[in-house]
Amino acid sequence: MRYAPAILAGRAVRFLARLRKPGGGSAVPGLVVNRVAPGFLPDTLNSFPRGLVIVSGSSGKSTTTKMLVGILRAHQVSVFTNPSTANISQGLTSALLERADLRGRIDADLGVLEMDEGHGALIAPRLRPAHVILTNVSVDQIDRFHDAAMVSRMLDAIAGRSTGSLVLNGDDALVDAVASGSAATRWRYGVSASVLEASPRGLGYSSTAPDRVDADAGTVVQSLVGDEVVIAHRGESARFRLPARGVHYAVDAAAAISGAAAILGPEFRLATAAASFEALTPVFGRGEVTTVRGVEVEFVLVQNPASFQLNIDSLAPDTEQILVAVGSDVRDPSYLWPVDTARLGRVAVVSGSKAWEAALQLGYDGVEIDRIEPDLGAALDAFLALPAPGVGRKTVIFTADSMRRTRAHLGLASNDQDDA
Amino acid sequence: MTTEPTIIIAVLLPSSCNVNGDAENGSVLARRGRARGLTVELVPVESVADLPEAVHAVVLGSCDDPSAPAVLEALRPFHDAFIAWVEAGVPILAVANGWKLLTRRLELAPGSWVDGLAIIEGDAPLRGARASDDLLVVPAGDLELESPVLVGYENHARDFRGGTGVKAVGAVRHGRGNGDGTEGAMVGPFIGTHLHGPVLAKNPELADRLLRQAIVVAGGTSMLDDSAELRALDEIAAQTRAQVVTSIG
Ligand SMILES: [Zn+2]
Repeated sequence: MRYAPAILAGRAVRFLARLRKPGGGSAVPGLVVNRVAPGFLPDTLNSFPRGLVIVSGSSGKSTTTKMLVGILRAHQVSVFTNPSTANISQGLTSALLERADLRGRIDADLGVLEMDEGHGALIAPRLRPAHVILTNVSVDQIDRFHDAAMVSRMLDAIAGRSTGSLVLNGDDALVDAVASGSAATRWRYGVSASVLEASPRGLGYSSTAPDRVDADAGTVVQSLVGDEVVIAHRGESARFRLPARGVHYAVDAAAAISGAAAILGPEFRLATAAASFEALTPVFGRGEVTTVRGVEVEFVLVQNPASFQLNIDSLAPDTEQILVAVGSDVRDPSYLWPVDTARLGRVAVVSGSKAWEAALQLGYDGVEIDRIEPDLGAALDAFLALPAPGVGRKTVIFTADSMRRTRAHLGLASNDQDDA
Repeated sequence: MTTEPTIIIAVLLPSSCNVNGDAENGSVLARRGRARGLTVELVPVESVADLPEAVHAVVLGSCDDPSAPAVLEALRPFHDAFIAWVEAGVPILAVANGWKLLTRRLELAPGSWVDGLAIIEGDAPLRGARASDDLLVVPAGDLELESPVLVGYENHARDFRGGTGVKAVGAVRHGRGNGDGTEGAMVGPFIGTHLHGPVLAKNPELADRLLRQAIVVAGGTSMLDDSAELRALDEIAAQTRAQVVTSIG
């Protein structure tokens, strides 16, 4: 009963927050509980019967988490997972509150949490995850994480807490090297030599490992054509469709399959895993196609320079109507400048609080810009009102802050706050 | 009508010195030259073996701190080339760590100093806390710029204390700069600055100053004509600067 007053206090605040702002998930209730009962978060997270799984890394966390949860549920495992936008302590606590009983327990076999590397490293000493899945290290959010070495130190702190298995990207030299002294079982995933060759700019890792993962011992993306992927896992292989185009989604799928195999042990079936992808809807903003105001729009999230480049390179050819929005989450857009944006060709609207600098980069890359409108609401309205494109879909490429504002402006619910 | 020479721009160690997009300043110079009808060659230089016979402008971006010792060793073979460029009036833009590695001494880790290439008199001690913010600089009169302020972003762990013959690029209006109210280092055609990333795109007057020097070194006579294409880009740059200045208030 230790947490009952704190949980009730948090629920009351959550209710009030909802009254004030309909539909808005808020970090406020989490803040209240964390102050009243600071042990609530780690105690609850450490109490799942089949353990806690942490997914971290510079990019691909949300997609990997989503895919992994889909595979686990297809194997009849009940899972608690956090909404992808709530990966800070308060947000996570708020999400747990929705599900916890008054003893602070959650009715699920397994917890699967996406954590950003900075926050994960801070909370890691208080957690005992059974499994840790790491995606990659790319230089991300430069104000907070000054360099790749710092990011890999953070991932090392998270990985070092695993009591069971470490599921690692074998193509990312920094990820592959984490927690070298750990007794946890190491599982590796990656891409084949031919898939790597087909990505002339690499996969966006700070440091790519010289050797590829062995498909007989690990999980490997063997081939990728459009959204159709072949993934080999310990001598077996499966062909299925990804929820969106792009080699990074294929790598996320390999991470999720490798992670599910580590978690499920002998219960794991590759065919069941492959079938689970059919039911998967993309995480909002990671290649999701949605109908808004009667128009089909594809939303693409840019998390860092590597994902910006990969997303540009995997845009459908001849996409002729594009909105690019760079928001205040990008404190300094300088680090986006190494990205070659020329392939965008022409952009209908550039928006977000960093619209001018984003437009400057596009302009120097020779991209034609029809309009620069820093006010995102006005930009979205104008963009959606443009006549339907002759070729391809209307495509919105945005950073996390612009994604949140877009969702609010268009009244789109997040589709990733699903329950077990 | 005379034939204008090809302008050759060397971008040094772009694979390790482009963490903040500083190496892109080479492309900015190239684009601005081509828009004026000049022939420009942009040469990525990873080792002295890659150096073209003639070089008319040099861009050296910043590396991150963990790779600084390796980048310093990779830069050492360029020592004589740097001296020759400075003597010949070749404009050089060196950013943050790229610049600090060219000073006499720098503090890599607390209390641990290493010798830089000593192209620029002065040394670079570690700051108490990392400087990471918008940086506004009132340009020194020597630069002969019309803009009242250079606008950019700084993210660095070291200050700069200039030695004899080193002038500042300007006075800090907002941010940290060298740590003593000044920002940057100028010696002859050399400019070192903490203004990282696309500083030449954001401050096109500074870009054109470097480009004019490069044309002179190459033996050209071009006056840098007006260009509609650049007018559009420079208007976006002006709005970018205005947005930063307004946000600071
Ligand atoms: Zn400030």
